[in-house]
Amino acid sequence: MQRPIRPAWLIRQAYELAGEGAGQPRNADLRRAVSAAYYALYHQFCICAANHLIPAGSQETRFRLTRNFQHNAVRQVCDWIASPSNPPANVGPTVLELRANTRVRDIAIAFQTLIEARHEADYDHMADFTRAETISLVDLADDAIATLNAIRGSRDYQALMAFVAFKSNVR
Amino acid sequence: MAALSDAEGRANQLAAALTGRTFGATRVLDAEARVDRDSEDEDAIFLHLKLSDPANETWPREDMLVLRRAVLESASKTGVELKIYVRTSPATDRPQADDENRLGV
Repeated sequence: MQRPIRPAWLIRQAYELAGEGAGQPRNADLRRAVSAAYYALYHQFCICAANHLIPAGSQETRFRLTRNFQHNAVRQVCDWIASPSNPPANVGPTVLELRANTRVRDIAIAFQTLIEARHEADYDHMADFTRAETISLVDLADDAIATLNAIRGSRDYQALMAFVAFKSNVR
Repeated sequence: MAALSDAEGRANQLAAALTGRTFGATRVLDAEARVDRDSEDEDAIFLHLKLSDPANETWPREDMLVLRRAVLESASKTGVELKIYVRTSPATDRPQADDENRLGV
């Protein structure tokens, strides 16, 4: 039986790892929760982009397409939107429009925050994660996924998915 | 070197601008900024905000959304051009399940 990667399941896993009730869970669980939260948002981006590019394709076709969207491609697009610096000239006007869209900017901030936090969670011995922050990061991913779904089909959503697609390389 | 020093100055200005601000029920008690290379090997500002203890397990989602937007707005006002990564911690650090070294590692 085929069981695809469902972002909602990763979010649920992240909340479970971050624990409930009094006290803080194990540090390794908090780190894994941050990583799961990031991957939930990353996979949602990939699924959205594949659905946007081949809306009438089979599920298998779209799942195969998701393998072509690299982490850094999504990251660079989100960096354009969530950073204060000037965007590349040829996409500048569109990026500035996306920056003016609070919901799109929230999504970009979430991705930018989570990819770096995931890196720290997985590789940085010096990084510290508390339960309060970890749950907040899972909330951030959860909100960004909901917002991505809420703006689906809009003009800014189309621009966002187009950027993700053309920054990626077919493998 | 001068550019980096300038970035550090602006990062510190950004931290100072956020310290003491309140977002809903969440207050920024302290803010520290450092300029460092991120996982893409690019210069970035790493902003660590110590927040008031949340009433529940974590801070309200809306407070954090508004806070993250405010960081970008403050960055624009202070002339920051680098990427900014925000990390947070509560005022009170509570022990974690392995802190007593029960696993022996």
